[in-house]
Amino acid sequence: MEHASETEVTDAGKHVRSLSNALQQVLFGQEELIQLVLTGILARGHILLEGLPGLGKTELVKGLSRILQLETRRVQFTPDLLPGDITGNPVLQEKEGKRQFVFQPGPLFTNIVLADEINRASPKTQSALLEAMQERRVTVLGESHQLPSPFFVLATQNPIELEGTYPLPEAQLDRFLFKLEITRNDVDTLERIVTDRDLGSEPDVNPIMEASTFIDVLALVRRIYLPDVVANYIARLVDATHPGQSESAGKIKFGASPRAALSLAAAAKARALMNERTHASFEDVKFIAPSVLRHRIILDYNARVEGLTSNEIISLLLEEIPFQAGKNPRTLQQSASS
Amino acid sequence: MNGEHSNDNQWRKLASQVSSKINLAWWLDKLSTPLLIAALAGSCLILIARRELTDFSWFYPSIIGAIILLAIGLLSWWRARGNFESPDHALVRMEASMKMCNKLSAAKQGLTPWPAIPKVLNDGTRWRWPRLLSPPLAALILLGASILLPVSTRSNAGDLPMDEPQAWKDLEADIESLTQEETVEKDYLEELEERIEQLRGQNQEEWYSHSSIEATDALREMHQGELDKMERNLRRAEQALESLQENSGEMSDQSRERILDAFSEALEQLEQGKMKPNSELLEKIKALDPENLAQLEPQQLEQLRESMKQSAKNCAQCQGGAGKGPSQDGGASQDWLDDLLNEGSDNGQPQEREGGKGGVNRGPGSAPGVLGQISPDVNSGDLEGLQSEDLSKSLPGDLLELRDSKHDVDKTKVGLRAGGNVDNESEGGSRVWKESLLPSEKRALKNFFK
Repeated sequence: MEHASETEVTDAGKHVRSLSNALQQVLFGQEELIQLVLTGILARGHILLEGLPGLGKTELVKGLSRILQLETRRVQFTPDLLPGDITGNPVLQEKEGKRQFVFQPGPLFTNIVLADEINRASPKTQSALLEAMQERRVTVLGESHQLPSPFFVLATQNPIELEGTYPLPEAQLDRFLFKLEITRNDVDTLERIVTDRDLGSEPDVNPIMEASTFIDVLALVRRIYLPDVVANYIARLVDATHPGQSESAGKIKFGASPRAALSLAAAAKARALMNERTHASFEDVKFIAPSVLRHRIILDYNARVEGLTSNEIISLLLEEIPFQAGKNPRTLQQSASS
Repeated sequence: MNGEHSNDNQWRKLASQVSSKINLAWWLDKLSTPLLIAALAGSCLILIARRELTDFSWFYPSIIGAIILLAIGLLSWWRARGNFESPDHALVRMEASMKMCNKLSAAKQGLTPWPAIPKVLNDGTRWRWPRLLSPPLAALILLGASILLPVSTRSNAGDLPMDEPQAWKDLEADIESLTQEETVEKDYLEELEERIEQLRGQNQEEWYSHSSIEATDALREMHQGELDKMERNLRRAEQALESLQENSGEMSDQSRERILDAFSEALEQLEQGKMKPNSELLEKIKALDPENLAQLEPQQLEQLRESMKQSAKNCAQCQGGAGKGPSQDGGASQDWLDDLLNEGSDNGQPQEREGGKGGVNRGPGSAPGVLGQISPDVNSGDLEGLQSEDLSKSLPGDLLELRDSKHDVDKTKVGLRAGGNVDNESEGGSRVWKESLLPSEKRALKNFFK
């Protein structure tokens, strides 16, 4: 596969930058979140957004769909939601004098699915998303139906009010490229929101990119060069999440899967494109590693008792695992990076 | 294009330098422990060699040291080579430490042009000087100390002639003395010398062996016995002659007979003894007729007696008999030795010592240090018993007073009274046990004090 050229990357980078600027008009004061959401989208990944109500999760997704001119559907997950409600159901219809089942596509058949409060649906309904998220198709009554391309699931969940919720199974969590935590806004951002927005009104967002252009950009991301040393760093980092493989993993019960390594590589390429580079770098991996790994490692009981979080363990991991594979002899010491 | 090519070369050159630095650091890291061990062993060997070898030369040790150093260097290189980094790895190290977003890796792949060389280069490492310098410095100090420390060469005790036992010297001195004075028959002296030569002829290491010392001691005692015997017989003969000469007229027949018997017996023992007087003297004595001494010239008799006296004196002066026997000169030293050995005995008799009376190779008493190391004599000097005159400063165990007196018993009359008169007299503490103890306890006390 031919690697992306600098010209292509520069052009794509400009488009992505305009996307970022437009999204910042939708969601104030969340530049890093916007960068990560765009990175995840460019890496063709699904994103789990976790945050308190009213922080703009739904607005972000809606704004993204409008900017990209992609079809979007929102599904409010509730405990009585059935798998067929989201995948679609076969409906008995009379066609050419014969009565037969005709598949009626559900809300999954779109480009961007906003799965609101995904953890309120039953495990049966949640598992209906597994095939759609991984293989981008839906199988009903033994018949597979391909989902449109591109296909993204942007799910939200509320970290509070956990009564009557069903925590997402690990298999499903692993299918999310990123788990992003939305933090509260500072005073300046709040003041800007109060000044520029009215209650109940939606922000005016103009389309920035045509869907075909966006698909081209997605294809370009795959052509970003991933240096061997960066791939090695990703491999060592994922390996170090397993107990016994690193000092920081001492309090991890289960480490990250190979899918995490693939996700790191894809997200690093996407971030390289956003930074108008033809190659991914150590810094890209380090930047996106918390978002990729935080929902993929399971801490042991001791860590939870001590109040340690996945983010803290990942920070320790990133400090422990050096970029280059070789160790330093004892006669040398690490100097401060320039 | 030229600029890019130049950057390429410069980056690769820098990468080579960094990889050389990393590899050198690995080599030094692996070198430190063997170097320290070798330096420690080498310094010990140098010290031993300097002590043991009189003709110690630095030439061969220097060559061997250089070879060992080379071998250690090669061994360390072999151990470190698994960690060596190529220039490509060094490029990664540089781009990581300089946060170049893997531009060098991409440029190496041909995707991007080589970036310009920054003004400040950083490979992400710096020397850890204490760790780096400590092992070679320690090795230098160890070797320097082993070379510079003053070490005296061990004296070649094996090469020096071993000092032979003193008893042999004494016996040889006796032989020389007796030969010079011509006191004794030569056969005895030759035999004695032959025996000493036999003892001397054995291996030097055996000179002070138990058997050798036993043999020496037996030889010396035999020689001493012969000396004593000859001296005694000569004196007896000389004294008999003197009595016969001076008191021939006044002497009763019985006394004369006894003296003549003593002379004959002395002469007979002189003839039979292993050590005989020289043949000339012996012939003269034998030719003498004690019953007809008056026929001899007084000067001749006087000369003969003088010869006998001189021979006896020569025997007494011999070294082999020094301190032995009742000789005139050796008696004082023997007394002195006896006094020394019997020091502390009350009755003048030799005190019975624990550990035996001594033997040929050790003195009397127990061998010192049998039960362990002897403690240093910190209280050196004379120990003197002090009697405390000031009783207020007496120590526990000091005898303060001896008094011959009765116990002060309160004899005030106590007990039942009638009309104000006390009937019985106090008996001190006896009331306590007589009146307060149980019958069984009283019996036990009575039995105890019976």
